[in-house]
Amino acid sequence: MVKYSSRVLDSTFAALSDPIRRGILDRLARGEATVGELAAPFRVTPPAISHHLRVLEAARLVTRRRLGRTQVCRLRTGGMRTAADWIDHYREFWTTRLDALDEHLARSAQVRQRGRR
Amino acid sequence: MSLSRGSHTLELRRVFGAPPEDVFRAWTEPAQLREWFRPPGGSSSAEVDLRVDGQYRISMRARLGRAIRSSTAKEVYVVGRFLEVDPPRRLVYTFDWEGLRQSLAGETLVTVEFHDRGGSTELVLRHERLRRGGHRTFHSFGWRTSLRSLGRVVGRANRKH
Repeated sequence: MVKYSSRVLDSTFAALSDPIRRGILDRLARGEATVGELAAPFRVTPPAISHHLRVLEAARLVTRRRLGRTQVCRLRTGGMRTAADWIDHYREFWTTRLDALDEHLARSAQVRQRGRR
Repeated sequence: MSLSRGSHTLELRRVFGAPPEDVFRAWTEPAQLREWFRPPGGSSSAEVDLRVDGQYRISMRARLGRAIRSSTAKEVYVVGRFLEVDPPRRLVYTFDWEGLRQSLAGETLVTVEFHDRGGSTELVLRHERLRRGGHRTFHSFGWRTSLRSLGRVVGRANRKH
């Protein structure tokens, strides 16, 4: 079991706890984007997006580089997920669904049990 | 639609505490598929024509967060046709994607077997013709699951402090 320092945990947890930051990470998972492209889906000001990006950088999840007058952001590969393999993606895809199927079958059985009483 | 030229197979096994008839129905009935096939935090709907050469189509709508306008919620489809339908023991069908911006390299093949274990079911899932190599488009589903997993890890670790 990996041991996390509490400071790393705090910054990672802070990074993930906000829906806009999760949305930014989702978008970057599909490829690099400029700050403008990241801000576009959200109704927030540019300084607010910069704040979110700073939190993500502090958590070592995102890195930025300057490109002309704008900045390009990308996920840090040292971050949480590095596997790019099809097979890994499909394994995760199916594992999530089999977990959900398990819960669904258990719930359905419970409903039937209650119906019989 | 064309068959993928990939050659890799993923196999997963899982035991469910329900008989094969129930698990097979959950796997093929639209009302049940909707409940477990959806992405975490998202929604799903399904159309299934359960016969050889019949087609299915499952939509998955993922929400990226409360702050985002619904028009930017992401919807993709899993589509395919049945090659074998043998209730409640076995299903073979093609598996392809619609709605993802980048091409995902053609139809793959799924075989699902529902083995009777006396009241329980051992499900064996084989997903064939997968290609090796990365593709960032698919990150969105893996990523969301990873965030959830990390959230759980972080939550457990935080409770210890």
